[in-house]
Amino acid sequence: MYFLPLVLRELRVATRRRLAFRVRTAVAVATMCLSIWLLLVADGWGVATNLGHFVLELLAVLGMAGSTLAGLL
Amino acid sequence: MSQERREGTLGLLFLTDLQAHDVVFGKLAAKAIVPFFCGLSLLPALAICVVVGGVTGGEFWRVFFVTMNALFCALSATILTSIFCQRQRIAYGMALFGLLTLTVILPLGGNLLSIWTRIPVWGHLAGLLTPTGSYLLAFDKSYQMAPGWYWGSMIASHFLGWMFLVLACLVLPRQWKDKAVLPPRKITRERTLFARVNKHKRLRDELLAVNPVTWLGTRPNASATLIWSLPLAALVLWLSTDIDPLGNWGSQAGFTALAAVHALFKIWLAADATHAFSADRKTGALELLLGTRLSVRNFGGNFVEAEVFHTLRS
Repeated sequence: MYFLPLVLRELRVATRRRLAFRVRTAVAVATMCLSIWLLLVADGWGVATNLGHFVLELLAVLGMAGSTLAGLL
Repeated sequence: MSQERREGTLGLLFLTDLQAHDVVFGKLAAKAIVPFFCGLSLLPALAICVVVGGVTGGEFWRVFFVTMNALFCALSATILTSIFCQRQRIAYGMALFGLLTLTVILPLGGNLLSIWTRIPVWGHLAGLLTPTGSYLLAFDKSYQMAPGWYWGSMIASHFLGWMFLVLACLVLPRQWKDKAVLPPRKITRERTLFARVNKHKRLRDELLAVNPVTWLGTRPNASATLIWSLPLAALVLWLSTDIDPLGNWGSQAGFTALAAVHALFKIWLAADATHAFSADRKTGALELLLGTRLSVRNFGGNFVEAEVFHTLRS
């Protein structure tokens, strides 16, 4: 296997993309908004265990969506 | 991979010491490195759920493994589809369709089949081959009922990812080369196509004398023909189901499907229309048009005219 130069080339090309910075910023802002919203609605959950499971499910859905669409983005 | 094919650089890669598997694994590693670190950064956030309570350590690790496995599977499928396509939009469309099949259509189809035939094993088998199946089984409630199905699904979907990669390694050396002369059985079909193209060319020649912008916008485009499958699908849906947003679940599902088809039609049409500008800019055709006597003010109107003409004609 001799693929590391190819990986290096691909990553260099990716860093030159204009959209890369914008996408990163948009994802960071979206995650912050989501976290703030979660903190705001946390009071309504009563039992902490429900909140823990809800956050896990939410992060799992986001992780799955991100992983599935990683090849397209 | 399709971009490499479009730009003709894939052949150059094969002039070096690289083999097909080097190229495939190189692409996979390059594409996976950023999402993999994103996945790693998700770990502390997931661990907070364990601290908050209600989530076990096993559940935490299972969710993480499922996410990483889905990443591997999806990237392998995307790399395989991109090898077969040269045009960007077709490559995106094919990859999206492949991923939708893998994550939504296959498990949903399996479940519907198991409901229809009343044999639950179809649903389990469909879930076994997809990352969605292992995701649904990763949570404690489902895992405790069937731990074997979870691990089976993880292994099967991981194996599927490896199969995609092996297939990509086998197909890649054949795909980047120029195609050979057409076999005899294809010649008749090609003749029919040429006749159609000639007819279209005559029509376009008339348009060129009237307006070059409209002429440019009426290039042969399969997407403009395919778009009419959506209104047809909407018609079939409307005739076959009772559409009512406030009715029973069947009517509501029909209404949602109709709304989705409607939205997809509009998005497709808009994407098709806007793609013309960017494609012409990339090929330099827009620059050539701007060098003519045409005023910029007329451009938008003529592009709309060309798009309407092209879509309606097909």
